[in-house]
Amino acid sequence: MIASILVDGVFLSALLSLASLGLSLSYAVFRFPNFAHGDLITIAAYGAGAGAMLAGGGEAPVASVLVGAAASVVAAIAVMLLADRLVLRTLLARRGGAAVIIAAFAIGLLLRNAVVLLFGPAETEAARPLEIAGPVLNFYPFAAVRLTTTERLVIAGTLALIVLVHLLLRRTALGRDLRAVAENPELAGVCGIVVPRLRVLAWALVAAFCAMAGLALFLLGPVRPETGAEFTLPALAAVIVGGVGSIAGTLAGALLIGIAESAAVHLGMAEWRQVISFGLIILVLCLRPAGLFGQRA
Amino acid sequence: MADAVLRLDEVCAGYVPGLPIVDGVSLEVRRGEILALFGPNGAGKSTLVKAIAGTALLFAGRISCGAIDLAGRKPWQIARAGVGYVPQRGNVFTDMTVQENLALGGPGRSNGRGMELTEVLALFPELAARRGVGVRTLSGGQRQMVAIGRALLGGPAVLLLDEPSAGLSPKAAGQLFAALATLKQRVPILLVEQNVRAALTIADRAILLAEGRARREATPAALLADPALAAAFLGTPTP
Repeated sequence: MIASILVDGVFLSALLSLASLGLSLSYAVFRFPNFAHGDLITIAAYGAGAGAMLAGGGEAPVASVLVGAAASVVAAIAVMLLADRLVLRTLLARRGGAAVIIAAFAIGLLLRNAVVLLFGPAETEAARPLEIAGPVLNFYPFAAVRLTTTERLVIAGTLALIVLVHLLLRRTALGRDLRAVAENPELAGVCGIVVPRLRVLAWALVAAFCAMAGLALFLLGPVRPETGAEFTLPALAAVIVGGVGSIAGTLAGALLIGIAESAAVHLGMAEWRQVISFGLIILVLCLRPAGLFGQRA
Repeated sequence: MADAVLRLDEVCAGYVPGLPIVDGVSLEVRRGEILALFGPNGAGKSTLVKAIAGTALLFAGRISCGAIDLAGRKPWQIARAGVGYVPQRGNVFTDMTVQENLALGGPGRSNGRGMELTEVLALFPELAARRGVGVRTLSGGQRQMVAIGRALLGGPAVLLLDEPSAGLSPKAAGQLFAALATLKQRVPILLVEQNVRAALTIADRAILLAEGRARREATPAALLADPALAAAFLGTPTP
């Protein structure tokens, strides 16, 4: 039972981390909760599905995964940069805190409805190309604990992405510049950092994270137009519990929520899982208002 | 003059169009000097340096660094044109280490030739042992050293310092002014300072700014000898 709770919790946390990393970055750089984040994940998931179908789907599973991954990245980055160029950039420049949050909601709804118009309201078929490609990889170390190839790949991919993001932010000049823009854009500007260029790059990175989350949802299947949006609140909670702008904090927040929800499901309280996880979040924020890893102002 | 590194002609600047805080100021910062800018609170000193750095609006006039016209340029373009600016507040990245803050200065941010890291650490020896330390844990004086060091690594043609001694202990302020005095041969400095007496001890020239206008320009010795100015800004009673 405990092993199952932990393994399922880690898997849920991995999915949530994929959704939360981009949200954490956008919150840190642009200082607003991007409520369109989940819908961008949906766009990426459908983009992955379309790419995979073009590459042959189940007939060519490896090629369909690769093309699907590329399509999800292209779709997410194109939509995110378009939203920035047409709406968010102007609102952020005018410092409209509430306006930009409402605009993000509106962009999210627009994207969700665009998916319904293009692909229909029903959920997609669960393609599971990786299960077709590599059934021999299904290996279960514990009889009671079962993770499919796709689930294991999602966990491994998430860990790899976390390491890459950490290296990018902490070990490269580009990452240092991004952190500078996130902390104090005016000072970053007088240091010679081209702030608008870094902001576009930040949105592209956010979209790339959404693409990875969307690809994971497509691989796990099935996907509905609301699938990504359902991740927005738990992902935002993970970011806030962990401390805005902290990768370690975001992961800790995702782990907390993932394991709490997994425990609720395994203990026969599936309908209480969000009550339990969000109750934990309230408890953490009462004890540490800046989040687990957040710096106090 | 031919050796002017930074030149301002009839500069009007502020934050809201139609409401200039600085009104028609002209000055130049010359090679090898410290030009002190002083005056009462609200005189427009900080606004003037912000306008040079591109973080306040320039309504009229001309600002040039060497042959480069800075009007209408963005802060990062101005920094790359050779203007190093250290704001009064929020002048370090507190979520980063000393080393990371210094690395943000350069190289490659500016057209000028930056100082080497070893030179900056020789100027501010306290930082040498604290390179891996988070800036959040540093004292106010050490943070100023980090901020100035970062600006120097960018290779500025001119350095703008806004109230660098604000909030520092007398000892820390003394160390900072001593470092600035040795620095001016390398980089000319426009120094905005409330600690007028300390600023005048290291400045070559000084300008009194009041109500957004340059009211008087003189050598420190001449200003110190003026009883009215001494009473107003140095706390020396009028005889």
